[in-house]
Amino acid sequence: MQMTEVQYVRSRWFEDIPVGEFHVFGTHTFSERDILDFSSRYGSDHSQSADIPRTARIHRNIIASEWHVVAIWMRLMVAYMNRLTTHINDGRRNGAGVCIANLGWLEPVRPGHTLTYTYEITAKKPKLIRNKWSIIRSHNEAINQYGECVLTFDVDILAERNPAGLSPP
Amino acid sequence: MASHWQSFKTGQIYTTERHCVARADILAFAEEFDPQPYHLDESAAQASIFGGLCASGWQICALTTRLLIARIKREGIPAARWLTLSSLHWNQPVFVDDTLHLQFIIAPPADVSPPSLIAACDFTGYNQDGIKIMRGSGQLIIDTHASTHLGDADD
Repeated sequence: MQMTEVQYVRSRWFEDIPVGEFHVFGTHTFSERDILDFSSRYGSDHSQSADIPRTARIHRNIIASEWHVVAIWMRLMVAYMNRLTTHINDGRRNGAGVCIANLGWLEPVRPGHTLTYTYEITAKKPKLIRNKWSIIRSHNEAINQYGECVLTFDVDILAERNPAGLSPP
Repeated sequence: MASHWQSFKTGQIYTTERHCVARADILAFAEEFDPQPYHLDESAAQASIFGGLCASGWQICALTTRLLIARIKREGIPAARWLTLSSLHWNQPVFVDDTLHLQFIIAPPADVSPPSLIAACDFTGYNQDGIKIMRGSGQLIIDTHASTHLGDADD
């Protein structure tokens, strides 16, 4: 696909992101179609695919693929970050993910369930990476309409340092 | 079930099938779930920390999980999914036309009683040059009902 417009996610500098900051950044309702589509394209359970006749499906235990629940986290996060931008393409990039930890799928996500996604900045590691980045850690959760936490994980991402505060290499 | 798990030898390294990641696949996943410049636009990607158009890390998670579960099924283990991942690292980006596979070890569950089993699994992903692109460690949960029934698997 030819992109006609490149949208940069303009994140804050590492220095400007406070530990303890908490965001409720999006909600998503999982439809049966979405769940089956993701499962057939990216999931592991081939028996849970859209080509199974509906009459055979309706009694089945349809739940969202584990990476579907996380992929929606990513989509909502990107949308949220884009909403915080001011259309300034100054070259700054949001951080790439480095690693995740303590990832748990605690409850099944079923058709019709609505998840609310949150994150909290929990740590900053000031060690300089490639003279440009440092690591921000956040704790992420998704809560369903019953108030149950269905997804939890911590992720380390690269956040760009404010060059004004860095000594020349 | 117990006999299937006993066929898994603790410490034995299993290898999945290989999968080539096409440009169209990277773009399709990124447009829907991870629309960031380095997953969508070649020039933006070259200017990024990755140095080229590369797949969303979550796409790689889903893809490698699919390879892993397919390999486990070949040993006679029915439907499985991740319950937890205590750690997962993306070591290197996955670029257009990279071909991936996983190597993994499984510790069979101590308790082999249905309906669900939990087994520890450590895995490492490689590209076609043998470069490590990811590694992780977690718990797989196996639903012993999910494998064979289409009509009566509701719990």
